[in-house]
Amino acid sequence: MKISEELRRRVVIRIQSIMDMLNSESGGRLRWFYAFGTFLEFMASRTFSLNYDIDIAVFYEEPVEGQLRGGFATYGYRLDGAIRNDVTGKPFNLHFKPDHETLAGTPTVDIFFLYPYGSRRIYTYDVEREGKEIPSNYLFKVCPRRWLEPTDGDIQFALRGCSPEQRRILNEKTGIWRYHLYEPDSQYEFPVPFNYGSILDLMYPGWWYRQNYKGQSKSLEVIKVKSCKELHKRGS
Amino acid sequence: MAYFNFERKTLAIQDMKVMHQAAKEVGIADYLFVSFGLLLGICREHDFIGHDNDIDMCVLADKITKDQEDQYYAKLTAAGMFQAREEVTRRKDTGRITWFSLRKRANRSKFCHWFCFEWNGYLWHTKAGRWVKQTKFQRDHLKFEDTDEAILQGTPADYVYPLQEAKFKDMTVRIPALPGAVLDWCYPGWWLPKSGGSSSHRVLCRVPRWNDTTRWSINVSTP
Repeated sequence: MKISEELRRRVVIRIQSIMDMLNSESGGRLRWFYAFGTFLEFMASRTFSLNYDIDIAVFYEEPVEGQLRGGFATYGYRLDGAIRNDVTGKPFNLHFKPDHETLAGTPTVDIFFLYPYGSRRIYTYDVEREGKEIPSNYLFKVCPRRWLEPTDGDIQFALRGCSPEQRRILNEKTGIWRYHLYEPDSQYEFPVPFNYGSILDLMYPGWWYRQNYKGQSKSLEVIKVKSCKELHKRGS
Repeated sequence: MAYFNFERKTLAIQDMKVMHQAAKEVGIADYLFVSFGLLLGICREHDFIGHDNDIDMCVLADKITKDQEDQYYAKLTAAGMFQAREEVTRRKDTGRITWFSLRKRANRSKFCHWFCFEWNGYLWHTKAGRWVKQTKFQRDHLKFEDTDEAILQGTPADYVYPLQEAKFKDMTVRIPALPGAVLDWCYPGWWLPKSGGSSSHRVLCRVPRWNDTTRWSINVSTP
């Protein structure tokens, strides 16, 4: 079912409203950004078609599950699955499905919680499609932290070289760029992490070819564990 | 106003093909690659950047000999590529080229070639002594003397090596291994077009004397 432009905008603003309402533990707004296939589609093709599932990333240490569940429920989504840490019960992934007639035909939303693992952030999902919250095996992919978590120096350096338009879309505290969708300065925003070019290189080699990029994100390494106890041991 | 119309793009591609052919004939084609503004255009727009009238090519100077460099220059000269513009900078110690700028005719694009080399984990490019001036780099950013022989600008070498092939128009060109990382480094916020400007001066190196690397000093920009 083709999604109308009006419905597409409605979905975008709903998700934006949900995510922008979340509060960070450290005070202020939560850092969040579009990730994986959603991120690739936008960066490589300049579209946010909603033809694919929507992927969003937040940082693991933010205790926002309750806020997320409430927010998505308010806007017509239900929690349809999760992958959790078998030691703490905290989510690595929450899978929301549209549950209201006004969202018929629109994609599911996956929230990935990026787990801090030394100099890296790692992420996982229901890789083996078991449908269980505690999978038989956890398979984590890896992204260097420096690409997601710029220093103040990185951000200030970027601001110095930016145009006024670029400066307006860079959050000085988080380093997240909030590009505008559809029209310049529109209310519809597409947050991406600071070093988005580096992330594209890592996860989607050849991204600049801008063809229909099939397949999952690549990773520098894959971490496989049976229990998150092993993560906590190997971890930092 | 956009510089690149259809005719200029066509001519620019013709000129790039001449350069690539010359590079192939002298055996340096594997070390000639696209970077800076042209890399940004390829990755972001699959095209030249509209306002960019100065197209950047790079050469891995460490991988080629001085003879090859001279032969490449001679072939471009013979092909008339320097007719409307010819500027060169060289290292004072070896006479090796660090940069040149060419233009075949007034109605065609300027091209510059940066002859890059690796040192201390970075790939460096420079206009040698031409860059030793306040208007290019502020002294509060890098402490340098008017008598210095060069200021270099660096990109992490592992963002560039190994070069890879990419299709551009009807050509195959070489680009850095991690083009996105290079763009993040050189042009923060690159996905949103911005008119004008040069690559960021994130890492600079002061070269008092080319032939004395013990005196070279790297400065990493911290606002």
